[in-house]
Amino acid sequence: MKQSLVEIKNFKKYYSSKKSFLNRNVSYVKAVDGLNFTIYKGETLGLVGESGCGKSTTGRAILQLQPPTEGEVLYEGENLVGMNTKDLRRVRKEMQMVFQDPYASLDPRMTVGEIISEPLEIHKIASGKEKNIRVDELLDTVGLSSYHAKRYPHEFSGGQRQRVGIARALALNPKFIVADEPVSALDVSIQSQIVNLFQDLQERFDLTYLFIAHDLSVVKHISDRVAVMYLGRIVEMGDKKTLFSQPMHPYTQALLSAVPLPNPNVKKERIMLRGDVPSPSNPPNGCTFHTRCSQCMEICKTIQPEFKEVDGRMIACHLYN
Amino acid sequence: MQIIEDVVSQKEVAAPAYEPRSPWKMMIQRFKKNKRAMIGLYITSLFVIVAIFAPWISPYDPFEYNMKALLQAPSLSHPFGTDQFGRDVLSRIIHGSRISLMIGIVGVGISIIVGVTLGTIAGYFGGILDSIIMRIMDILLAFPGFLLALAIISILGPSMVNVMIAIGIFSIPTFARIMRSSVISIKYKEFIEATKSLGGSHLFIIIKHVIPNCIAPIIVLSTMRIATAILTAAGLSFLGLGAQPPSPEWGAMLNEGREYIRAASHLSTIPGLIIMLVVLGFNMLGDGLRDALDPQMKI
Repeated sequence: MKQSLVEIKNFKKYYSSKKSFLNRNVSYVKAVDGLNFTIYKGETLGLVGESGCGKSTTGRAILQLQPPTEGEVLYEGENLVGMNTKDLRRVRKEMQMVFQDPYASLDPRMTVGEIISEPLEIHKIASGKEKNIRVDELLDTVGLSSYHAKRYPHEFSGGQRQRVGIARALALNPKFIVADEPVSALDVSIQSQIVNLFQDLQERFDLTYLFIAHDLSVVKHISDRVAVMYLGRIVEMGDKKTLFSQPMHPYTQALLSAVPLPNPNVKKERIMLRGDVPSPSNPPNGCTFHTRCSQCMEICKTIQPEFKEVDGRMIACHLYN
Repeated sequence: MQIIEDVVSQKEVAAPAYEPRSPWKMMIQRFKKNKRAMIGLYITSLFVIVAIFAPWISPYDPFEYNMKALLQAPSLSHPFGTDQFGRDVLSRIIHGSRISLMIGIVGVGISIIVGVTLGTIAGYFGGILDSIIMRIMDILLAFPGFLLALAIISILGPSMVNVMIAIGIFSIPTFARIMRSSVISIKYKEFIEATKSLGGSHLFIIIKHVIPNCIAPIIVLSTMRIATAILTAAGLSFLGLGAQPPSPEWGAMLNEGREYIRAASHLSTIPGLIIMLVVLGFNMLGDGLRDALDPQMKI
C-alpha cells in the first residue's frame, strides 16, 4: 500500500499587483489556481509544464518559501500552511530544496564547506570536528572530494556546483526533496550525471522527490508518476508509462508530440498549438486550455472541468465525461 | 551504473597543490595591479602611521611657545616653519593628523553603524518600515551636507565631539541608501532562499549572507566618506565651530594662519596642502577599492 507523504489540497497562490497605496484596485496573477495531489513515500513525482505555468511556484509554496494564498499542504498529516516558525523549522529539517540555478544558489562569499555545513549550524546538529567529518561524508556522497570543501563556488563547474547544492540539501537527512529544475541550467552531458545522482541518492536514502522540469525526456527518465501543468492547474496526472504512451488530455498530447525522436526517418505527427499561453492575470473562463485546444467544445468555454479519475489516472478535461 | 563511474573519475584526480581563491584574495590581487590605488594606499597608510606615532615622531612640543622663533619661514630646524607663537608647524601638523583621523574614523563609524543597520532593515524587510526609514533619510539628504553639519553644531555647540556627531549624522543617509539598494539586489537570490528553506532565521540570513555580500560598496563609500569627513571637519574648524585653539586641528591652523598670510604664507598653505593630500589619498584609495571590488558585483 502506498503511503502518502505530502498532500496538497485546494492549493492556490495568487500574486497581487497593487498599483499604489492610494489605488485600491488590486488585480491578481493566478500563478497556481487550485491544485489537488498527493506525493507518495519513496516515489518521484515529475511536474512538467511550460514556462510560467506555476511549476516553481508550486515547489516553493510547498516548502512555505512563499506561503500559498489558500489551501493546505499536509506533510505526514500536519498542515504546514500558517504553521508557527518553531514547528516549521522542525519540519523543514525533513524537506529540502535543490535549486535551478547552481550559480545563484550558492553564496559566493562562502567556501563549499561552509555552505554544506550551514544546515548543521542552523539546527545546531554538529560543530567542530564532527561537522567537518559530516561535510566530507556529504561531499563523498555527491561525488566530490574532501579537498573541495576549502574552495569557493566560483572555482567549480555548473555540474559540480549542483552537486554542492545537493549535498547541502542532504545534510539534514531529509525525507522529501523538491528539485526545482535542477538540471535545466546544465550541459546535456552533465544533466545525465546529475539525474543519475538523484536516482542513486533516492535508492540509498529512501528519498521522495518532487522533480520539477520542463524537459520531458528528463522527467520520463526519473519519475514514477508525472503531473502535467498548464496555466496554474494540473491537467493530467498519472503513471509515467501510461501517461507517456497514451496521453489523454489534448495538452499532454500536444506536449508529448513536441519531443524530438532520435531517428530522423520516423515521421510523426506534430500537434501544433496555435496562439500564446493566456495571461495568468486574466485566465480564460471554463477550461483554461480551451483557447488553444483542437478539440474544444461549447462546454469547455464556460465550465471548468473537474480534476477526477479516469482510467486509473487523474485528468481535467470534458472529453472524458 | 554510470554514477559510480563518475564518482570514480572525479576522485582519481588528486588534490592539486593549489590555494583556494577567496573573493577577497582576488580583490587584493586586482587592487595591487592598480598604481593609482596603491599611491592612495601609501598616502593613507603614511597618514595613519604618523597619527598613531605622533608623540614619538614630532620634533617639538606642538603647544610650546617659543618667543625667539616667531613666524619663521621653513628651514632645516623647522621644516614647515613656525607660527605666530613660535610653535613648530610640522609638530602641529603631525599632532593634527590624530584629530583628523579620529574625526574621520569616529564620524564615519557612527554613520556606518546607524546607516548600515537602517539600510539593511529597510531593504530586507521592505514595506512600511522601508518607506518610513527612507523618507527620513530623504529629509536628511535634502540638506547640503555642510549646512546640515553647521545646523547640528549650532544646536549642540562647537566642540570636537559635536563635530564627530554632526559628521556622523550627515553621512547616515548615504550609507543607508547604498546598503538598502545592495540588500534589495541580493535578497531575492536563490542562496538566500536556500538558507530560508534550511530553516535559517532572518537574523542568521542577514549576518551570514546579506551583510557579507553587501559590504563591498560600503567599504568603498567609507574611505571616500573619511575624506569628506576630514574636509568638513577642517571647514567647520576654519569657521571656528570645530576644534578650538590651541588645538592643532588643520582647519583651525588654516584659520589662524589666515591673518599672517602676507607675512608668513606657509602658515595657511601648508595645512591646506596637507588636507588636500590626505583627502586625495583617501579618494584614490576609494576609487581603487571600487575598481577592485566591481568585477565581484557579478554575483
